[in-house]
Amino acid sequence: MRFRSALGVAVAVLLVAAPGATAQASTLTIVHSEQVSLGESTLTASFTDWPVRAGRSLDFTFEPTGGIEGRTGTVRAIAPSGEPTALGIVGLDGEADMELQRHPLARHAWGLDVVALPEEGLWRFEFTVHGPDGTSTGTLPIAAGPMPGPSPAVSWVVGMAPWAVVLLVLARRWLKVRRSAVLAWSG
Amino acid sequence: MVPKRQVVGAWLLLTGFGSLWLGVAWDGQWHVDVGPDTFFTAPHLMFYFGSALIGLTSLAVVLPSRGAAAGPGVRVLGFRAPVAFLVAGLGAAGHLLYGAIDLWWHTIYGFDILESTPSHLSLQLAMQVQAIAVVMAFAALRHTTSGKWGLAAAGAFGVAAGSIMLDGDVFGVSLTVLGGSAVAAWTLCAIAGVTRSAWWVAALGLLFVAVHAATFFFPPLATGLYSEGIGQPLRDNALGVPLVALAMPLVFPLIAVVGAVSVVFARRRDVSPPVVMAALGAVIGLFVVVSQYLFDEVGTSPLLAALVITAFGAIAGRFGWQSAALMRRLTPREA
Repeated sequence: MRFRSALGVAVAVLLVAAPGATAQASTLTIVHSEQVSLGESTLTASFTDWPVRAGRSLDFTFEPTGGIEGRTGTVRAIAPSGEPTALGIVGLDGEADMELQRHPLARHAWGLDVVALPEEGLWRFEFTVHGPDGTSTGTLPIAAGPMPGPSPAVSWVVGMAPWAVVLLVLARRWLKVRRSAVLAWSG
Repeated sequence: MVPKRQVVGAWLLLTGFGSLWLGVAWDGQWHVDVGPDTFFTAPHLMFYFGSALIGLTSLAVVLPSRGAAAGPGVRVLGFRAPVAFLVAGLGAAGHLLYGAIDLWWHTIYGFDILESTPSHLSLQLAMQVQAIAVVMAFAALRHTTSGKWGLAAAGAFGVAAGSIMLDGDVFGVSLTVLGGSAVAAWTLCAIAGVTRSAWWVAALGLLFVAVHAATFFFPPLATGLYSEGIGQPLRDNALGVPLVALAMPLVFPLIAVVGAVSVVFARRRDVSPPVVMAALGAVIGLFVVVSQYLFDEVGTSPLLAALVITAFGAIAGRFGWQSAALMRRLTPREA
């Protein structure tokens, strides 16, 4: 009986969860685009959130006129402090010059998926694109506004407070029982 | 006798933790190799299933536990809760609660999973709490051989989870390596302390190899199949290498052998266990630093890292033995 009800619950959970788990993620919703001059040509940079705010992630797509077919390139993101910064999964190897690759949800264009610009201020994205008409470069300035939400200090203090309470309770109990533990080999 | 409910419960906790751990490793692989995320991805379901199984098992064990028949426990709201299941239940509840907070966090800051946030850190800590609870549940079963195998398996999962518990650097010392080696030292010395046997310390190393192998092969395989199944292609620069497995200490089986030999040696010479375990913990810290230095990075100040991580290893090893002395009381026979 118990086994049957457990099986029933398991099947119900599967029925509810399966459509979600087998569905593809939704497509991107572009809310803003900018034109970057790239030598003689242009590159369209699109954003899923605008204006960009520091610490809030969004998706970027980059599409040169004539498409990405037969072209390769890199993008270097320069933070307001002047430091080149590797961003997101694409920048996971730590290389400042991030290899441009297709966006997982917009595979006709290059892109950076769910990436946050960690610093507030004026960022510069420097593109280098190699194509049939040679190598061209272009720069896209992006202003990142102030970080949304409460300040990081407040978030960390509030978020970690329950752990501090746990630690205090454990420490108190520990001090009480510690002395009664037998520490020899034959305890 | 340990009540049957707690024996079955311990194995369910271990099953839940296995699902939680491999689900987390799969999720990491999915993000790195494929990308797009919704709440209902299969890896998310797999690790939330693990946490839910741990939580529900704890409830099923704690709620009927009343009176002396339940064995040693903590009095909470009229129940006599077996400590391991109380800890497991709180860990799972914390995990699900911080999961909800994480979801809310992402609505403000977006879904960047690489960010170091209070909710991400808390999810990792809650996972470690659950790992410790599984170790405790099997410490209570230490009088049976199957219970000791369960203990070694729980320890192996705990060491695995410890290797990704913390993130970032402080004063050029990698917190990832610091947390991982401290958990490794605590676990090994705790299992030495619970079982008082060199063989079971070696068995911890053996089962770690099994957990490491599963973490190495399962995530890339599952990611490939799932990506094909839902028609979401791999990234152009998908690495296909099991990143979570690479963070785990490859040197740990060797450490377990050293630990086993130390136990034999110390028992024969009757060296005080707290001293042996502090020394062993220090050696574990140093081993992990050196091996991570060769393979990867221990932070920008390797010498300071070696010093700090060795010291933390010593403290964790000593603490592990002391924890074990208390965990030995979780069995009714010695209560």
